[in-house]
Order: sequence, then C-alpha cells, then structure tokens
Amino acid sequence: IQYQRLDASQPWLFFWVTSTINLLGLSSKYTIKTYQKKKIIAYLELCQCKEGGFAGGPYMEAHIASSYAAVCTLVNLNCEDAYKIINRESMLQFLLRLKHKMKEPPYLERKCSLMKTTIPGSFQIHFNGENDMRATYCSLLIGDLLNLLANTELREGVAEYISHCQTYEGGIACVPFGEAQAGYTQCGLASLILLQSTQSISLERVLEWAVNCQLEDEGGFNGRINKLVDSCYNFWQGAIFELLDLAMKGTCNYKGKWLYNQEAVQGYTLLGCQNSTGGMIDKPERRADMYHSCYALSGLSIAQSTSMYKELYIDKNYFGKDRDETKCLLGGYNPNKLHRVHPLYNVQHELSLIHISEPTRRYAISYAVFCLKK
Amino acid sequence: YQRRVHGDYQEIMIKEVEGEWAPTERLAQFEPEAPIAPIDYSEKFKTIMDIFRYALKIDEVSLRAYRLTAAVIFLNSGNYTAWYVRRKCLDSLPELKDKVKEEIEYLDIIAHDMAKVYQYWHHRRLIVQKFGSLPPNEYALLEKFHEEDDKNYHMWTYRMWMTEQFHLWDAEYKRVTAKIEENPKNNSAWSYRYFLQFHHTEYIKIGSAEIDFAKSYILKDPNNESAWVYYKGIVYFSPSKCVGDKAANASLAEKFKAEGELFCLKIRSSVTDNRFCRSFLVDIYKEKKETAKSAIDICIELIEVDKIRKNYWLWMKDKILLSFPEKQQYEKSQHQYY
Repeated sequence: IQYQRLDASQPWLFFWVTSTINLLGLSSKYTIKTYQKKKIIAYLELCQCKEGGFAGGPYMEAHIASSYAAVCTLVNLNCEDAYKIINRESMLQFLLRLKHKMKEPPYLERKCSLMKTTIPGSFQIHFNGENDMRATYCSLLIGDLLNLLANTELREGVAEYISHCQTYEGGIACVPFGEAQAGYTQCGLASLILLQSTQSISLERVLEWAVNCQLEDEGGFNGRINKLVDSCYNFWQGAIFELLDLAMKGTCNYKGKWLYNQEAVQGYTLLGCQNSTGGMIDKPERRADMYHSCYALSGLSIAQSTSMYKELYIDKNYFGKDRDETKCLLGGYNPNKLHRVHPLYNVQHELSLIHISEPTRRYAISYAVFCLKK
Repeated sequence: YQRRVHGDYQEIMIKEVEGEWAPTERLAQFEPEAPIAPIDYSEKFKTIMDIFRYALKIDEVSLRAYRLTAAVIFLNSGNYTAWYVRRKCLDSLPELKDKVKEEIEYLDIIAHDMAKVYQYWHHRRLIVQKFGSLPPNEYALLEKFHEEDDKNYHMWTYRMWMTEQFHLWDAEYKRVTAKIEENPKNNSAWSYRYFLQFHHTEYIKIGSAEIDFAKSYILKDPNNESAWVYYKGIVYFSPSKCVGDKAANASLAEKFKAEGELFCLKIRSSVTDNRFCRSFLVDIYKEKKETAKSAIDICIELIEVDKIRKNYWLWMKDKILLSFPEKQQYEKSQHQYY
C-alpha cells in the first residue's frame, strides 16, 4: 500500500529495480529473466503515449521524468526488443512541445490549465506542469540516448538557463536564485556535459560546494548546506565529482581518486544504511524503499571507483597505478564491489547500447558515447 | 484534530463521489496475468481510479469530474493528470467561474499532507496567479508550513515566486531577518535573503552591509557554514552577476578580499581548528603569486584540521603549485605529503 502514492510514477519502480539488480551483478539466479523482461517491455509500451513520451501510468498524460525512467529501464534490460518499442520521432515532438523556445513571445494567459511557469531555455515537466532542473536533465538525457540532440531548437538557451541557476553557494538550484541542492546540481552539470557547454558555469565553485557537503561525523553526504545526511546523496553528490572530472578533462581527481572521502561514504552505506530485512535506507532507523536502494547503491558504486579519463581519452594503453580497482574499496577486498555506474545516465557502465537511430549501431555506454558525438 | 476531522471528511467525500458515477462508468486498469510489479491497491483506491480512468477516456469536464479529482488527489497526491483535469474544470465550467477563492480555501484545508508534493505547489501557484492578488490567508499558511519544516524547498521556491509576483520585497526583508535570527543555521533562509537583497539592488549599494550582516553571525558562531558561504558568495560570486558596472563591482570585491583576510586571520588565531576561515584564506591567497606560499601552507594545515576533505586539500595544494611553478622548489624542500 505504501506504493500507492507511486501509482503515477510507475516507470520509476522499474528503473530503480532494474538498476539495483544490474549493479549488484549477482549470479544468474538473481538476474532479470527473459519472461520478466517481456512483461516489463509490454507494460512500458502501454505507458507510451501516441503523442510521444511515456506517462506515469497507462492511462495518463506523458511526463518527462517518467519518460527518462522508462527509457533507462529499457536500456537496463539490454536487449533489442526493449529498444525497439521507443518511438523516437514522437518523443522528439513531445520534448519540443514542452520546451520554452527562445523566440516565444511573453506569455499572458488567464486559464490556469494553459499557463506556463517556464523561462526561456527550460522545460515543463509535463503539459501545464511545473518547470525545474529535473525536466532539463531528463530531456537532454533522453535526447542523447535517442540521438536527438542534433536538434537546435531542443538545445537552444538551455546552457544559459542552467548558468542562471548556479547560486552564490556554488551548487545549482531548481530555479534561478533558489537554494543549491545536490539533485539539481547533478542534473544541471550532467545537462551541461551533454550539451558540451560546461564553461557556462564555474566548475570550481560547484566542486567547493559539493566537497563541503560531506559530513565529518557520518561520512555520507547531505543535499544542502546545514542539512542532514541521506544515503541517496551518495549518488547525487558522488556523481558530481566524477562529472567534474569529465568536464575538467581528467584533472579533478587526486592520483585517480575522487576529491571526496570515498572510504567514508562506503562505510556509512555499508554500516549504517542496510536494512536488516533487505533493501537500503536513507539513514539508520528509516524504512527501506526502492528509491534509496537504487541511489545508495549507485552512489556506493561511484565511491568504489576511480577516474578512467586517461584511459578513455588520452591513452588507451595507459595502465598506471590509478587503475588499481581495489585501491578505494573499504577494507581493500572484493565482496562488496558493485558494477560501475555511469554518472551521467545512472545506468551500468558495461551495457551495450544499440544506438537508436538510422542506421543502428552498437556503442558501449561510456564516456565514449558523448565523446564520439563531437 | 484537524487531520482526523479532515480524514472523516475525506471518507464521506469519497462515498459521495462514488455515488455520482454509475457502476458501468468504470474502466479497470489493464492487469496482465501475473503482473510484473503489482502495486497493492486498496479497494477504495481501485474503485476511484477505475472511475477516473473512465472519465479520462471520455474526456469529461464537469462538476462531478471536478469532485472526482479531489478524491483522486486524496488517494494519490502525485497524480498529475488529476490536478490538470481539476484546472480544466475550473477554467471551462460556468458554475466554477467565480470559485477561485473557494479553490484556494480547498488547498488550504488539504495543505497538511502536501508539504512535499510538487503538484500541490505548482497547482497553488497557478490558482493564485489566476486569482490575481495575494490571498488573505497566504502568509498564515506559509508560517504553518514553516513551523513543520523550516527548510521545505517547495515552500521557499513558492515564496520567491510570490514575492516577485506581488512585490513584497520590503515586508519579506523583515521576515527573513527574523527567521535567520530564529535559526541562524537555516541555509534556506540565508538563500532567500540573498534573493531579496541581490535580485535588483546594485552591488555597490548592498555588498558591504550584507557582509557585515554575515560577519555578525560568524562572530556569534564561527562554525556556521551558512554565514561563511554567504560571505564568500558576496565576495566571489556576486560581482559578476549583480546589477551594476562589472568593473566597479570587481574593484569593490578586491577591497572586500583585503578586509576578509584580516577577518579570517583573526578568527584563525582566536578559534581552534576552524576550517572555514582557513578555506577562505586559501581562496584569497591562491590568486596571487606573492601569497601562493601562504595558500599552500594553509592547505597543509587544512589536511589536519579538515580531515574528511584531505583529498581535496592535497589536490588544491598541487593545483596551486602548478600555477606558480617557482614554488615547486620550496615544496620539495619543505614538505613530504603523499
């Protein structure tokens, strides 16, 4: 019954579950079976709207966040049947409809069911819906996975909008002049990387803000200054460090390690955030839920990894001491090691992606995905 | 008490809503055999949602649809389509033409469960926009939310919109000053203050006073991160973003940095192990060749004082060295850090 309130966000349930299973990388007994994949695919097909995009449930209107969750679930399923169901053309139309285009005249409307609260360069999250950084991130990410980012109307003005959302604290807020928050910062930074416009904000200030969000006593991160720790920030904050490394061309690490205390995050997660009957929790004495299971573990995966920038961009044959996989593991040994997650997409690194475009090609999801688009 | 009364009211309301729709006016959710991730719905939920699906299919916009959305929202406040249908009803039905105020009252009544619901805040904003002026009860409501959670992100974002829309700058300034006094570590309040003060006022007019404000709170509690970040933000972030001639702003900022140096040195000598003053000093010193060595020295202090951020300070130290190569000789002879 607790999931009734997610009845309008059903693709997220699939995404959190498939991500968690992928990360854990356990034996075949615990992987997603083919018949289960078929069912997920069939259900998501019901959630796809004929005007484009995926909705939170089979009878609802399309929603950008649900679309992101649906598309990434299909990527997680890692099979051609999954990718086939996505309608690229209508998805593009859907995203363009929700974008506040640069040449739009100022908006005056008395009907509340038609009002827009967007500013130029930003996206509504569904028709007549709210506008914030999540919509931007999900749109660009879907655009990247489906190879739609060549469309200038989609990209126009977004970098500028994001630059207005960087606050005096250094992080990025939901709207201009808001308070910097981890989720929105990860969304904004990832969006800028996808647009290849990271010079629009000050990366050093993002780094300074993020570094200070790690709490000395608990070891985990908070989401805003002077707030409490929460294991889901393992991912939202941790990904920021890896994304900064990408944006700063491999210079945002110290001897390969991220610029936060990785062992402390691992300690917090493994010792404080495991529910005794399964699942991950926000902080001790909370209930387990799928959202925290997914993000605490994605974050744990980042905390267990080191920079791969040199190998992927500079020298394929580079094999320095930075690549010691156990270097960052708490205790130095392997049973807790998760599969590596990609900080941009929050899907597993090693998945092969059929590039959903004409002609179809296979690429590994990695830094290489956007690198090759240059 | 209000929750219980409200709960009873909702139960009655749901029965009434059910009664308005014939038993044939339902559309069940498509449930394949053995669904893959079934949500455990209650009977009440299934009935109302079946009716709602039917209403969506025939695209009904009517008074009974309007009442139906209240039931759906009660059962699942995240159902964004229900909120949208509600707005459509308010816009198109002649009976609801003058009922915007009643809608706001409805939102006030259901407010206690809606603190973290995106859709609620968005809907409220659109309704108040349609209403056209500041509703009389608005502040009282925001204060109630503030009491429950003084850092509610939606509430603060809404507050920002409200201030801009209805030009409440001066009144809000008094309120935010009081809120910071109440809870000096409420970063949302500091962020809101920044919004009020720097949104359209010139940097040269407001910078110094705001820095003094931040300093007063730092002196009360040198570990108040919000106050320090506010101070540093005014010095490093605002000059290029704020209203006014950028060159004049920049030179004022230089003056602030010089004052800041003295302030931080004072804190460093009087408060043990304070990482904030040291971090600010690193920012000030690392910009110039003459003071690069001091910057490096403080990074090394911070490796001890701010242990959790050790990797960051090691990286920072190396970065400063790289930008001032002459200092590398000094580094080799003096410090051995791995």
